[in-house]
Amino acid sequence: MMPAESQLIGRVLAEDDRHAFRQLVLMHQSAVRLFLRRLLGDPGLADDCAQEMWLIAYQKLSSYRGGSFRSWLFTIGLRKALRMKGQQGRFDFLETLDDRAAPTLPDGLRLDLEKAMQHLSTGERTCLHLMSCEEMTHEDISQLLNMPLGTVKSHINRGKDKLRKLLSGSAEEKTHARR
Amino acid sequence: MQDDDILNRIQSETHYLADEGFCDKVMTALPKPQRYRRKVIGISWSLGLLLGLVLWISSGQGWTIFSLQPAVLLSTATLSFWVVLGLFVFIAKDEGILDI
Repeated sequence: MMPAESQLIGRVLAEDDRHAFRQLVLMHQSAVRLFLRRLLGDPGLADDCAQEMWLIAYQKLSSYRGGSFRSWLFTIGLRKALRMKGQQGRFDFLETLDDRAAPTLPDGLRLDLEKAMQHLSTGERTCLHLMSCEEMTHEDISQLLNMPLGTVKSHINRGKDKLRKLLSGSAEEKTHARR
Repeated sequence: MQDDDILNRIQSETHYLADEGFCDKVMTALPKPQRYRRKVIGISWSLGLLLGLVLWISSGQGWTIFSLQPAVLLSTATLSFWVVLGLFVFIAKDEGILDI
């Protein structure tokens, strides 16, 4: 059985225990990489970002002040991703609301989830991922992404509408969505 | 398709990413362990201060009670110098400070 997360963090801080840090990486690597993949839209770039994020997390671990460790990691990952995109401290690309409708597909054609997600804006994709996979509330997402609550709700609603249209092959739903 | 269905579908179709060497890459990128650095720096500073104090006291003309033989002074200074140098070499080797 794995020791508790807080014990592992304590061991890293007190003894520079690399084995404990390795266990922390193993516990959270998948969630962090998935989050960054949704955010950056490129698995290779996301993994590079995740690797650098863990290095920063190791160096700054003493500044972790309790609360959700995974959210703390996501915050570091988000800042690193912004730097990689050359938008230091700017969350514009996340906040910008995408008014474009989902592309209209030929009748009977439906996309699988991964392809459908690629048609969403970065903000929509990231918010939906955090809500579904990390089970975060609107408020949690707003705090993590440093984004107004209303924008988070808009991203989620628009993302859901687009996905509904892209994932459904029925002509009836498409007609409904066009209205 | 209901809202919950969409969220459930995202959740069920987003699969756990296997480690596949990612963890090893992270661990390799970490800086070398610095287990002794703090202790050694502390000891070096203490020895340096002690040496300075001894020299300062011994140089005072009126402090006859602390006056030391030049040979003792020289020995203390030499010993402190080599201890500090030895400690530096030890942490340099142990923590890879001099690695190129």
